Amino acid sequence: MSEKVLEAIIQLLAISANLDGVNEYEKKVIRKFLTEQINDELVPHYMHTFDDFAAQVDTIQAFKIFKQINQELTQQQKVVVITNLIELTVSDGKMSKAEAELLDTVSRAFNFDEEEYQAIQQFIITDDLRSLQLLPLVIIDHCDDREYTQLSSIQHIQREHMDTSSRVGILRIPSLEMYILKYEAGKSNVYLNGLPMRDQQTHVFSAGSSIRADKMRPVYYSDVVGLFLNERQGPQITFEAHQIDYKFSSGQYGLRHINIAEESGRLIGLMGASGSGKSTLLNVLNGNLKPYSGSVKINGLDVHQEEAQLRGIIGYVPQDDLLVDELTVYQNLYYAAKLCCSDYTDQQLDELVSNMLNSLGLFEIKHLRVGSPLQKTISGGQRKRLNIGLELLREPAVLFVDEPTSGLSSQDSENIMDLLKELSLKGKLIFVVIHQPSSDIFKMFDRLLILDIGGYPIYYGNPIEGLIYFKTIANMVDKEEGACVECGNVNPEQIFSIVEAKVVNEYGRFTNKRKVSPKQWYTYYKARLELPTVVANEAQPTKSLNVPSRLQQWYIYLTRDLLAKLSNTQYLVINLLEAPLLALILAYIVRFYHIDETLGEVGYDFSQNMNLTAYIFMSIIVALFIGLTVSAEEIIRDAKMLKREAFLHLSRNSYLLAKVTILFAFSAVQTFCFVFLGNWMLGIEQMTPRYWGVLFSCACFANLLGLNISATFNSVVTIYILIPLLLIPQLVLGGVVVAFDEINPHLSSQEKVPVVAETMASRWAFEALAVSQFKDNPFEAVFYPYDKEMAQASYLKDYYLPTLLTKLTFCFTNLKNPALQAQVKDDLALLRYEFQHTLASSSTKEVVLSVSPNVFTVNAFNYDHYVKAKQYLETCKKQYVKQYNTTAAQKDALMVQMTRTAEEKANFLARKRQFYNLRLADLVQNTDQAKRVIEYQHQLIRKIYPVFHEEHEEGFFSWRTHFFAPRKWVLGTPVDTLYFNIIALWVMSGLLYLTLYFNLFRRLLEGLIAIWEKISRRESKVIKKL
Amino acid sequence: MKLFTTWFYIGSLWFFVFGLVGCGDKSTSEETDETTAISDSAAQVAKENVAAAIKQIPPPSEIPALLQASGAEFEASLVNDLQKAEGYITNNTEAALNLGIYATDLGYVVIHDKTQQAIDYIQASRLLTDKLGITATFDDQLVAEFQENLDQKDTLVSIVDKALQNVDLYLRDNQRAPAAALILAGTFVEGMYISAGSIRKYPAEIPEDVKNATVLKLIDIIIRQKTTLRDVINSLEAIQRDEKAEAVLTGLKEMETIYEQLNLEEKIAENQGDLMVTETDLAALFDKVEEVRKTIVG
Repeated sequence: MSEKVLEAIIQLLAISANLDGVNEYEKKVIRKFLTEQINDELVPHYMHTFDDFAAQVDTIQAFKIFKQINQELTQQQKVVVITNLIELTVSDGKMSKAEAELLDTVSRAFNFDEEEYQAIQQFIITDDLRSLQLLPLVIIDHCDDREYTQLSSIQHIQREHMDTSSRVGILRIPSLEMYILKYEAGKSNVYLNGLPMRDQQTHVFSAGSSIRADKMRPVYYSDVVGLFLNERQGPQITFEAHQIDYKFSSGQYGLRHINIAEESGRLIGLMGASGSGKSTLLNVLNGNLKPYSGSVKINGLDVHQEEAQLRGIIGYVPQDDLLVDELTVYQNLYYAAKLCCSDYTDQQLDELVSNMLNSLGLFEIKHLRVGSPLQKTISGGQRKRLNIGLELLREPAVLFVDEPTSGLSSQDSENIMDLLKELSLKGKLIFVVIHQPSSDIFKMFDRLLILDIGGYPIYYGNPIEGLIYFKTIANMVDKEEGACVECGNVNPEQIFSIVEAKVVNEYGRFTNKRKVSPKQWYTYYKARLELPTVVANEAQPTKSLNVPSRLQQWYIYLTRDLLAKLSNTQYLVINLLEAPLLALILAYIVRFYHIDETLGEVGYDFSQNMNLTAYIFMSIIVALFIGLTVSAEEIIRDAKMLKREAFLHLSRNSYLLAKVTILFAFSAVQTFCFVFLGNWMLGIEQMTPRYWGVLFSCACFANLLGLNISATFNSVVTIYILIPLLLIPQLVLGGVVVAFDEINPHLSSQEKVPVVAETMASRWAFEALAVSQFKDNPFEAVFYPYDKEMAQASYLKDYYLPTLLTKLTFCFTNLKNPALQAQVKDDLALLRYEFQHTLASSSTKEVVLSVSPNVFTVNAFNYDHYVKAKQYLETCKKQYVKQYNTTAAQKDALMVQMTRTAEEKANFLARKRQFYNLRLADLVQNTDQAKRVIEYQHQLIRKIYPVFHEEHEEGFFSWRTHFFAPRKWVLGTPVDTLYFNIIALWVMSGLLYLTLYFNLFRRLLEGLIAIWEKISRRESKVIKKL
Repeated sequence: MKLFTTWFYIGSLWFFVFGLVGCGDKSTSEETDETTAISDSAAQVAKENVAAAIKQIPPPSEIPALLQASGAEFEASLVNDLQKAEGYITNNTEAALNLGIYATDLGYVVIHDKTQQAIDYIQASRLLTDKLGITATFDDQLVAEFQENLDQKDTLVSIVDKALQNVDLYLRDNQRAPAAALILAGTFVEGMYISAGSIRKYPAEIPEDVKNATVLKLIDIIIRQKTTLRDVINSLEAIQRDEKAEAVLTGLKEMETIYEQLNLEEKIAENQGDLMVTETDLAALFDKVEEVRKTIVG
């Protein structure tokens, strides 16, 4: 008892005694009371105090004393005061009216609840506990439970071996969650915390207390409290773990034969030396890890197999930080609340969060940004409390907490454990992994499970009994004592010093060898301890979780992420400035114009800018780069948070889509700034939407790629090392750095874009932009149809048909020449192919294909066929000449019409300079390549004017064409290249989203690692054998 | 010659008319096919006749070589401005005419070893051949070839001449002989212009006898151009002409008239020893040349 309380009691006694005069009997009682409470030496001092007070005090002073006591003592302490007061007042067998009045006054002054005060008074005054039928009591005696069922609100604990005339009654004080105990004596002693109780004596029954007697099974604090809870809480949770074994991937055992049986309303501690498997056990119990054998069941439902039914029951607070650094303390809790309690209104959420903040003691700092562990804004202890708070919000029925107190001050630790204890009193089942608990914390646990190295369970039961158990085994002197009899202090470290005691060598020094091995402890455990059991509650556990709909989840994730990003100014600024800055640099460097005055006016001229293709290509690379780097870290950062939120069974889709939305929004803004600035500087006019469309699609593709690698790897460094590996192929296979027909022949294709390049986003983007810039710009768009026809005709009449004619003549001339047989054969094959395919499909109506392709064999070919074929080819050629000339005349007429006056002509030329870039035209028309048509595998392949060339093939893969095709054919319909390529980019992005959602890359990686490990293990086994 | 071509024109026209009218009411596809086939072949014949009527484009170095041999110096102001090339691409007629101009300029600068300018004129010609769709003549390959032989003037000259020859061949091969006629006109006019200009701009300070020797030779060259002029007029008359071509033809005809008025053949035939055709005599001709050239180059 503290001094203050004692003083208060003395003072009040003095007042009370004064009422009807101080008599000797009362003084004797007081002295006796004091002797029991304090040191003999101090008794006279307090008696003196009593006398002084008794002499002086009057009503006014009395009130002053009340006020003082109110200010100095906690409510619990005041309960102690008043109980002692009542006890002492009735020690003379009666309570006078005055005394009763005084007590009433005191109780009111102390702000006691009237009902509770009455209950306390009755409890203390009564002779027979069983008569108090209306009070919240627990009675412990030897009688049968059935005797007590008629008596209402009284609960009963039976102890058959208890002395038949003894009885213990415990009263609950609900407002303070406090319990006071009264003992009705019998023949043999009953001990409270090791000290024998006196008849009619009242005690405070605190956490960790135990009631013992000879031959009697102890009654623990938790047993009593549990009974009180039972009547309040309805359905219960039963938790069982049967023979849990766990093996690590290396084959070593992590846990062996763990058995647990628990019910709601308990706080269970898991302790053990480092490496004993505590965290592993926690993760097996909460469902994160699958045990090698054995099962974990909640209300009969297997945690690992019937996850769906147990949704929302389990909560988990890992050791690591799960906070969003950029948000404030309040916001962290707020969003966690939103995700688990969707049925609350905003106001209710606010209340919930504020209450939590209050109980965590974080209310004053709620507006502070959490900050990173490196850049601390709140202290480590506050961080830890906040972490726990995130999970406590929804009060899961079963909660697993990993080392909540490590790194905290003793005050903070007690705070946290108080919170957890409160939760358990409310009916939750809480498992806590704890290290070096203080005495008070140790006593809070209802059960303790201790593991030793290798995952062996070595104790499971009441904490204080644990001490006794180990001390008994170690044969220590004070082995009967759990707690210190005088102060109630326990020393949990004793357990570990016993468990880990080392052997002393001949020199008297400690060796590394343990006296008792873990296995040995386990044997003792199995031999001596009775495993607790629990009857499984078959009822479906109620959920405290109300997960919002997927759309709401998406929205919550979005706002949370967005807030986090917006509050990080550095990030925001760099992100938004990067793109326009790059645009500026790039465009400025690339903005070439000639300074040679002989070539005309000096000044920037879009058509003469030699670097347009480079600019287009570089802007695509910029889009890919920015997209990739911005998204590369996104998922890794959230890794721990995701682990925690896994217990909420939230939609992964919502999470990913929210991320994707934010990244896309950023990409949109970045690419727009880039295009706007870059295009303006280079005079690329009226093409902004197209450029933006392509670059945005590129950036989004890169975003998804980045998210994929972010989800696949564990460290950020690995990701950044991977980035060049992803981007360099895009650079090389984009179609600009190396031409597709000039790469390794194993990869390249003469006719179409190589398959390996079809997977490159840069190829699609570049083709889209180059083709679109060339053919859709306002100047060329008018002439494109003409140019296309002219190009087609030109190719055929100038290159294709002349080549065929040459070959024809050659074949005929050298048909019988033995030296050139091989070449003749090749040429005939080529002619056969061309007559069969290309000519047949492109023959115009006026010219009839009169020559069958089959004549082009060494045996069948003769003069007749030669003449016919030659005639046919020449007629074709004339046809195309005519076609070309007609179209050319039409185009010319159009141009003439547009340039009738000098002004119109000037405008026309100015327009051309504004929109038509010569370098780009050369690129997409392939005019600088010497080979206009090539022979490949007995076919003639057109190389010139790719941008005017369309090939219409049947089949699903008909969209595969050469590079710079103006349109692609999909299932019979033509689609403009710009749109087709953009769609292709989005299809690839969509595929990447799927791989992200199903985490395919991660699984692939893990699969590969597993295979690698298997191989290396087999190898090492082989080596071992040798 | 002229008569022959006109008769053929009428003849082919007759064929056209016959073909269109002769089929009567029956407008089955077969018959129309037949008639178009007939008219096609008639057109074909007509085209071939036209082509035959058009004189082949002369090598661009021809006149400049003669000029140089006569002792004339290079006169930079005589060649057409390169920057105007861009302006000719809107119109096939203009493009063809000026291709002739630039081609002759090209010959001129090559003859006088102005290699950098030569490359510039090749580029200008290229612009125009692109417009006319004459592929594979003035292209990268030509430039490469040119640059490989920068120190050998003869090779350079032959390269340039060959290029124009290819142009002519291509056009005829592709039923576009009319374009060749325009190019021909251009080369002629420019040749005349440079010759005239060389005479007019001949430095006055040079002593009389040296001057006379050169100028006489130059005048001689101009006199000989009369026959070429006739050929050019014939060529132009054989083709369909638009406004500009018509203007050029008119100018050339006027030029012919001036030639007639000079009565050169008579004078040569009479062989009056000390009769010389002086610059002043030719002034009218020179003015006309300038006028026609202005029509072309704008």
